[in-house]
Parts: sequence; C-alpha cells; structure tokens
Amino acid sequence: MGPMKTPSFFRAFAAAVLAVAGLALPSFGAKPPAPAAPVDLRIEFDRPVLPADEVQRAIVKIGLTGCRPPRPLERAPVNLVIVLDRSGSMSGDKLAQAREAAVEALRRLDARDLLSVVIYDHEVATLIPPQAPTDVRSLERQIRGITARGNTALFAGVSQGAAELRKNLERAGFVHRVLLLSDGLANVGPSAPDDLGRLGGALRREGIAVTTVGLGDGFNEDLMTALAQRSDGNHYYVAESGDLPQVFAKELGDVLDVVAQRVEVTIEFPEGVRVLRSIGREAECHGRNVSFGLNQLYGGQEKYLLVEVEVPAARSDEVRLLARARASYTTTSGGSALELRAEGHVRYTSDVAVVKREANQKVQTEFADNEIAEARSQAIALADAGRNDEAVAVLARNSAALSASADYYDNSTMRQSATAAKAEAEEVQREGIDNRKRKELRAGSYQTTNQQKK
Amino acid sequence: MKSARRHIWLPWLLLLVPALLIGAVALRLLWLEQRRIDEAETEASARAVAALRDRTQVAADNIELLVAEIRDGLLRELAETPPENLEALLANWPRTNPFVAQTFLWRPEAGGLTWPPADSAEHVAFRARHAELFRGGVAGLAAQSQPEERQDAALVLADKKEAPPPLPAVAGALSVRPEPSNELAVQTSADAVDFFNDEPAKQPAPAAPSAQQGAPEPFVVQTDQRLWGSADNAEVSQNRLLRRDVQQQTKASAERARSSSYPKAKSDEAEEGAEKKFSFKSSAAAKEAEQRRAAEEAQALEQAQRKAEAEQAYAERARETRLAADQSTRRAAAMEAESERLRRESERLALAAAPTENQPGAPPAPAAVANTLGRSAPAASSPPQLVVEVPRVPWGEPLSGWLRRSAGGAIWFLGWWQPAGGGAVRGVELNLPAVLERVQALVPAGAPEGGRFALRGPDEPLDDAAIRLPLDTTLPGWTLVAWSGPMRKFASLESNGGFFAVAALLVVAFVAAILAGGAMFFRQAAAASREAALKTSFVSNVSHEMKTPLTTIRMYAEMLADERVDDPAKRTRYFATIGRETARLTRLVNNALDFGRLEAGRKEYRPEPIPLGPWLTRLVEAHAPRAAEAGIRISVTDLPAGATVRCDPDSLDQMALNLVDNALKYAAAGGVLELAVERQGSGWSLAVADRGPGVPAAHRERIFERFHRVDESLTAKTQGAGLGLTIARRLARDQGGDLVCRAREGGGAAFVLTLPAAAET
Repeated sequence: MGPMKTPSFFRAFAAAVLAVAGLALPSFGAKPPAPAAPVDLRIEFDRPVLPADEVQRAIVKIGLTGCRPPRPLERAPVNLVIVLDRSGSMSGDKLAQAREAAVEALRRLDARDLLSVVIYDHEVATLIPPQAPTDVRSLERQIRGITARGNTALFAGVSQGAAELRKNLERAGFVHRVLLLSDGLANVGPSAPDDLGRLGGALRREGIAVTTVGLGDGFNEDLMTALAQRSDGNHYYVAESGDLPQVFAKELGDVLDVVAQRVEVTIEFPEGVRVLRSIGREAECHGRNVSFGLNQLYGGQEKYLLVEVEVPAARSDEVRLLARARASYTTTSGGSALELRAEGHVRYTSDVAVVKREANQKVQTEFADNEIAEARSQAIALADAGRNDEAVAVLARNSAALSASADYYDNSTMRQSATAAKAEAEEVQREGIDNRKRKELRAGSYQTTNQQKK
Repeated sequence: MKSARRHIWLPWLLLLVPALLIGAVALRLLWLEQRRIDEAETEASARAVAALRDRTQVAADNIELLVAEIRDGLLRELAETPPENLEALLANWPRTNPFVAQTFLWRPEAGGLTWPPADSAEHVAFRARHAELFRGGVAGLAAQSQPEERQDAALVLADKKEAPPPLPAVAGALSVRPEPSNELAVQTSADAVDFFNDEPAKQPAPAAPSAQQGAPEPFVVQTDQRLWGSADNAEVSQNRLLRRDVQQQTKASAERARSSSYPKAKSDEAEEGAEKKFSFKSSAAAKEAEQRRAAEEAQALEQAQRKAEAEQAYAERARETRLAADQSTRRAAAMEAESERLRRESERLALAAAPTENQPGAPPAPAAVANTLGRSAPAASSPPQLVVEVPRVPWGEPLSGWLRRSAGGAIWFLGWWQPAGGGAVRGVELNLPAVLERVQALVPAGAPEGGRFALRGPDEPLDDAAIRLPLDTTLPGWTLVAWSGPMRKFASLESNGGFFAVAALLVVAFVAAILAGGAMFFRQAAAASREAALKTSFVSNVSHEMKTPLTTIRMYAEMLADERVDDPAKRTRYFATIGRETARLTRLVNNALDFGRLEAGRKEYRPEPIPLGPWLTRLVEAHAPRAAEAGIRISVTDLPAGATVRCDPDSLDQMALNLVDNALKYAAAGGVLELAVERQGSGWSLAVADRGPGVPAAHRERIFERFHRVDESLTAKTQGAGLGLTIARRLARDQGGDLVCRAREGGGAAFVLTLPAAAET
C-alpha cells in the first residue's frame, strides 16, 4: 500500500472540500470514525470528479477500516489451533523452528484464550486439546516433544484442527483461527487447490479462518493460498525456517487485534451503472449488487474491495449517487450484528484538468497494485502452461498501462508500483519463474488482494 | 588305573544320558508350546482383525449416517423452502450453509435453469460443469439415451412412503423427520425411479418368493413418473442397465438402515415382523400397485389433518438441519457402542438369512437381501450407487434424490427435490470438501492396540490396508480403510518359531553347561586319581632308591663297626663306598627337596656368569670315576672359547648331574657320553649325548613330566623317581633357558640344555 498521507492526497482532499462543500461526500471524508464504532465503512472512487457527457469507467473502492487496535484488556479472546506438519520432510531445523514458532505463539496468548495443537503426518493427532494456555511450561514441553515422520495428510490435519475449534465455536466473542504450517505437498487425502478452497469457503461460513504458512520450497502455494483466501485467513511464504517464529508472532499480532467479525458487505449500484468486475478480493456480483464477506477485521488495518463499473454519461456539474454500501458485523464482545451504511457520490465536470487534479491517487495506486497482483496470477498460469513469453508480455503490458496512467495523473506512488512491476517483468523475462519465484509471486499477489499487513 | 577310569566313566554316563534325555523332552515340550502360541496368536490376530473390522464398520456406519443426515437435511431444507421467490432464497444458501457449494432451480415452464444465472465466474463454472445434465428437453433425451458405459453412477430415487422410525439418539438431530406414524414403518417403494426418463420404467422382475426366508411380501414398486423432461444420456442409460441392481441396492439399503441404524428394527420381532411389513410389488402388477396407491392416498387424506399439524413443527425444526450435523458428529462417539451392537445384530440377521453370503468386509445386509430375492448378488461388482431415503414430506408425494457426477476432474453430488405433481426442481450441489472435513472427524484416531484408520478418496491408493469398507451408500468412491496396529508386529516376535528358537537355545545351553561341568569334574577326578597313582609310584621309587644306598651303607657300617675288616685298604674302600652312597642319598634327597621347592615356587636363584670351559673340566673330573665304574667314557667334543652362561651355579651343577646320572643309569651300554657346547641364538647350548637305547618318540616330551618314567614298573632294572629331568627342565626354564630331548643320529639320545649367555663384559 502506498503511504497514507501523501501531499497529493491532502491536495485532493482540500480541493474536494472546497469544490463540493455542503455535500456529504464520504468518498472524500477522512471523516473521523465515531469513537464507539470499531469499524469504519467508506466508499471512494479513483476519480471523484468524472468527465461529463461521456460513458466512463470508474473504480469504486469499498473500504472497511478496523479502528485502532483494541486495548490488551479489551481484545477478543482467541480460539487458536496450530496445525503443524510433522512429516518427514520437516525434520531438522524446520521442525525445530516450527516448534519455537508454536511456543512463541503460545507465549502471546493468555488465560482468556484457547489453544490447541494438532500435528499431522500420514495420520493426525491432537497433541494439545483446546485449553486455556495457563500451564505454559507443560504445554511448551509437549510442543518441544514433536518429532518428524511420515507423509503429509494436510486435509486431515486441517479437518482435525477445525474439529478442535468447533468444540468452542459457540462461545461468544472468540476469534476462531487455524494456523496451518506445511512444507510439503499434501499427499494423503484431498489435495486439489480447488478442494481446499471449497473447504476454506465452508469454514469461513462457520467463522473459522485458516492462516497458511508455507515453509521452504516444497509446498503447494496454490493450495495454501486458496485455503487462506477462501477462509479469509492470511498466507505467508517463509523461505527460511529461521523466520518462522517471527511470522507466527506477526500472525498472532493480527489475531489479537481483531475488532470485528463476520463482516458482510453488500454494495448496491443505482440503475444505469453496469458492474464490470471486482478486482482483487473475491466477491459475488449479481446484476447491480455486489457482496463480499470478511471473517474478521483487524484493528488499524484497512480491507477493501475494488469494483470496476461503467457509469452512464451525465452533464457537467451534476452530482450523482454512484454506490451505496451496507456492512454488517459483530463486535468482539459478541451480541447481535451491527450495521453500517455509506454512500458514494461523484461529480461531473467538463474540465479535464479538474478531473486530473481531483483524482484519488491512493485509490488509483491500490487499483494498480491489485492489477499487478492479477497480472501476476495470469503470468503464473501462463508460465505453468509453458508460455513464458506470454507471461512476460502480460506483466509488461500491465506495467506499461499503469505507467501511462500514472504519468497522466501524475501519481508518483502509482508510478513506483508500475516501475516495480516493470522490473519484475524484466526479471521474469531474464530468469523465468522458478519454484521460489512462483511462491513469492503467489504469496505477494495474495497479500495484496487480501490487504495483508506486510 | 584302568579300573579307576571305568569307575569314572560310569557316573559320567549316568550324568550324560539323563541330561540328554531331559534336553530332548524339554525341546519337545517347547515345540508343542510354540505351536500352541502360534495357534493362539493366529486366533488373537484374527480376533484383532475382527475387532478392527468392527470398529471400522462402526465408524463407517457413523460416517454414512452423518453424510445421510447432511444430505437428508439439505433435501428437507430444499423441500421446506417456500415456493415463492425461490431464486432469492436459494441464492442465499451457499453463503450460509457450509455444505452447499451451489444451489440451482430448474423450471420446466422456463425450459431450463432459472438459477444460478450466468452472472459470476462461480455460476458460470457451475453451469458449465453440469451443462450436459441440464441440456436439452424431452426430445434431446431420446437422441442421447444410447447405452454407454460410464463411471458416473446412476441416479437413484428411493421415494419412501414413510421414513423409518428414527434412532432416539438421532431423533434430535433429525428433528425434521415426521413423527413415525403407526402404520407400517418400513413400507417402501424401492423402485429406482429414473429421474430423467421419459418412458415408463422397465418392469423389474417380479420378486420370486424366497424359499429360504419364508416368502416376504413383495415391495410396493411405483412406476416411474415423468419428472424432468431432460436427461443426462449416460446416466439414464446407466440407470436402465443398473435398474435391477439399484432395486436390490435400494432394498438392501433400506433393510440395512432398518436393521443396523434404527433400533426399532433391532429386536427379534423386527426380524420377523418387519419382514412381513416389507412389501414388494412390481410395476408389472400395475393394477395391484394402483389399488394400493389409491388406498394409500385415501389413507393419506385421512391423515392430512394430522400431518398438517405436524407440518408446523416440522417446518420450524427444519432450520436446525445444519446444526444437526454438528450435533451428530459429537453424538457419534456416544452412539458407537449402540450402533455396534445393532450392527452385530444386523450381521446376525444377515447370517440367519444367508449364512454363505456373509463375506467379510462387505456389508452383510445387501448380500442377504439379494439372496432372498433369489438373484445373484451384484453388490460387489456394480459401480457405486447412490441411494437416498427421503422421508415423506408433508405435502403430497414429492420426488427427490441424489446424483453423483464427474466433471472437470472432480466429483460432484447433486441433490434435488421436486414437489408432487411436477413443477420447479430445486437442487443443491454438495460442498464435498466441507462434508469430507466433517467425515474426517469420525475417522477413529489410531490407537496403539487398535490400528490405524484413514479415509481414502476415489483416486487414492488403498495401500496394504487390512480392512476396506467402501462408503457406497452415501459417499460412493470413498473407502474407509484400516490397518492393524503395531501389536501384531510385537506378537510376531513370539510366533513364527521365535519362541521355540529362543527357548531351544536356552535348553541346549543348559544341557551343554551341565555336560561341560560334568566333563570338567570327571576330568579333574581322573587327573587327581592319576596324580595319586603317580605319587604312590614316586614314594615307592624314592623309597626304593633310598633303600639301596642305605642297605649298602648299613652293611659296610656294620662291618666296620664289628671290626671285621682288618685290611686297612678294604676299610678305606668301605669308607669311600659309604661316602659315595651317602652322596647318592644326598643327591636323591636334594632332588626331592628341590622338586618340592620348585612345585611350591619357592626356589631361589643366584645367577652369575659361569665360563663353561672350566666348569666342564670340573664336571668331567667329578664324574669320570663314577662313569668309568659304569663303563662310560665322558668326553668334551666341542667347546668354543669364551662360552659363558648366566646361571645359578648350584642349579647348573644339579642339571648337569641329573643329565649325567640319567646317562649313567640308562645309557651305560653305549659306552660314551659326549658333551658339546654350541652357540644357540643369544645363548649357549650344552648337548649331553649318549649312545644308549634312546628315548622312544612318544616319550620324548613326556619324560619331562613329573613322576613319568618310560618304564614305570617297580621291577625296572634301573632305579629312579622320575624327577631328574622334570627338575632340570624347570631349573633351565626358570632361568630363561630350556631343556629338550632329541633323538641322535646313529642311536642314542641327546639332551640339549640351553642357557642365556652372560652379558659380555
């Protein structure tokens, strides 16, 4: 993500306030959230001011921000299951670091939380059944006793993990999280990325998110990202096992920062607007309705969906409602679902300079980043099919388009992204996409579309 | 000596024979024990496998129950969805129900799918993968209905008049089931209604009353209804081909469910009663079926009021369907014991019905039922079938079922429901991974004594699993497998002759130890008795040796004392003789004393350099008179200059004396005694060679043993105690030298004494 407060952003903000004073334009609002509400819902556009008298394509950003992380005493309790791969390939330093990472996670929890540990090879065992981590020493001893052996029954491992969580699924306010670590290909049980994705989708509906940590170069990144994506968890690619404890700590930081859960967002576009596609995050598009869901929202982090729409022509100086969003969520203290609403308006002008000046560079950059992520996915698919040249072409074309757009709007952060993408295209042309690069690209793409904290 | 040996051999035999006998008997007993262990082990492992199979069967039953519950729940929920605004309601499903991948709605009046629209990638993918299923209408079907072999399972519909009474434990989970009415609980129309078929079903063969089972009443078979104009050709054809199998399976499934899952059918009365209540009527007997149906419809009308009331509660509880799966998962453990008992019961029933058909691993009930129908049992060979019992829904007679499809490299389960009298077909695509995830929780955890369990998908290898239970009823293609635990491996240490090998080794070692101990004991006894004999002989020899000089001394001493010898020369000679004999006695006693000292290791040496030249001269001078008396001439044949040995002088004198004595005693006939000194490595050797009779080769080493004499008889011409050479060799060896006896060329013996040379000064 680009830096939040660039001078251009302020300029745009000031101009917008002056230009459309009196109109409630949430799109411009750095509107301070009500202190009570832990979630802020906003609609923004890449260009809040559109050229008049022609059909336009616009990028609509529906953003949800978890307001400041909860104070330690107020945070939601966590129902965490760590699912550890203990297959033969994990032996040595990998498993040692994984054990350390699990202990690290254990230390960050307190008596309010629930921790279980599931280990799997060709079979699955619950090492630690769900319990409050009060006897840290005994739990540590158990975790440190894990040894490596056997194959990788990843599906069964996740299943067992979910089953352990499910024992406390009805307890109010808990954040339910599976933390899956694997370094290998799932070679026992279902192993198609799509199958695991569908499992992830089912788990999300129960409020369980699966964070996947791929270790080393042997795991299936498609499977791991699909599982994370569909269950709204995070995904990390850890090339060196020494980074594991840090990644677990980061993940625990996220989990302990959850401010809202079961977030469901519905966006309605008025008649005449045509929804072209959603960008990045997965969303359901039905006619003029778009909806997406988040399992949880972390404090101090923004999650958003970008939707590309076709907007009908309008006369200059006209102000139109372009999108209406409704979000429901539950707070971590439990209780019934709360609701938020937001609207987004655009103004039309015949002055192209105004359009340029008013452009929301942050949204544009975010759009660019998601486009790059999408291009990466395409490039991976093409490279998988042995069409490396086309993969390079996709990346290059994408970066060129973004670069042109960045020049047009004089958007420096977007230019940075485009330049980085260009460099990446060149690297791929030079060296192709090897296993490690593929994992980096896949993880990077997912982290962008998921707006995962880096 | 010989009788002593015999005395020793006798107890030795007394020990040897019983020890060997005992060993043989022990081995025999051990062998028998080994066989007993093997048998017990085989039995135990068979029991373990049976227990494992039981456990697997229970788990499989639980899994099937869970999946059936999920699917029944979904169908029920489909049925309960109000017909108004169906699309919108169905659209919401996949978002809320984890088991639903996609919903669909097929409206005949619209001529196709009205939900999902092709508006999102997911929907487009759904439409694409099932396009074949949803394509075309009635006309298209006929063209496509070519028989074709395909893996896709046929659609099977089991429209049940009444649900079997639910298991009490499951009743909560299955709260949407209608209350079991008093009428026959398991009356079933088990015909496989072809979902897509537009022609009347082929008539199933009329049920041949089974002679084995007291002719149960036939099933009621409904004729096919035209449900859905379109058809999936392959599935239809498959369906037709498999119609018979399907019927059997349906019946089997019903029976199985009844006897294994529902406790009401568990008792003996159920065995008989339910049998009668089951009725089977073929479509061929259409009239009869019509009549029956009419009667049932009338009955249904009568009960309409009652059911309408039930419907209210029914609809309310339908919302709990999704929770049911969770609850049942948890309850599954508690149910294990119960269902196992029921399963055993059902096995017993099956056994009673068809004892020969009860093959291990296969669910027994289908085989049994197939048998009662008088047909061959196709269960084992037919492709997976999908049979779902749909409880009767309150309004009318709807149709529904499940369908298994392969598309895009994956397997999809589609459930559908159509209200009575046609209308929109509502359907749901199962989110299989989510179901499998729940199923996974029912796969028993591996226990050290109970083995290891796993669920295997359609393409996964079954490895060397001991038990394989296909989950054909609800999850065709998936198999629950189990391996026996490590207990088996541990036990195999004892079996396969392991016990015998170890035990036999012990017995052999024991017997060998006894025999070795005995042998050592008897050997020692023999040695002791030999030694005793030698000592006796020694004492006699020494006494005899002493007696001769003593006699001589006494005789001369008496003569001198009596002054009977007047001749001074004679007197002098007598005195000399007495002196000589005394010296001989002294030598003898010295030897005996030396021997005692040597034996006790108390002999002390004071070694000093001795030049051999002067010493030899003295030796010859000292012994020449005695030798001359015996008729031997002593000569030194070889004496290198400067030959000096390091030795205790007394012991050297004694060694030489003993050797010369021996020569005088035994080799006097040779007439010569030659002494020769030679360099021998780092020392010097002194050879004392005679021309006597020599030493037989067999005795050449033994003569150095104590008390040994070549001729041991007391009457031997020559006297001796058998100590001289023993002592000489001991003395030589103690001082770093040696004494050996060699045969001499041209006859005679040569004794070679080797001693270390004195350090050169």
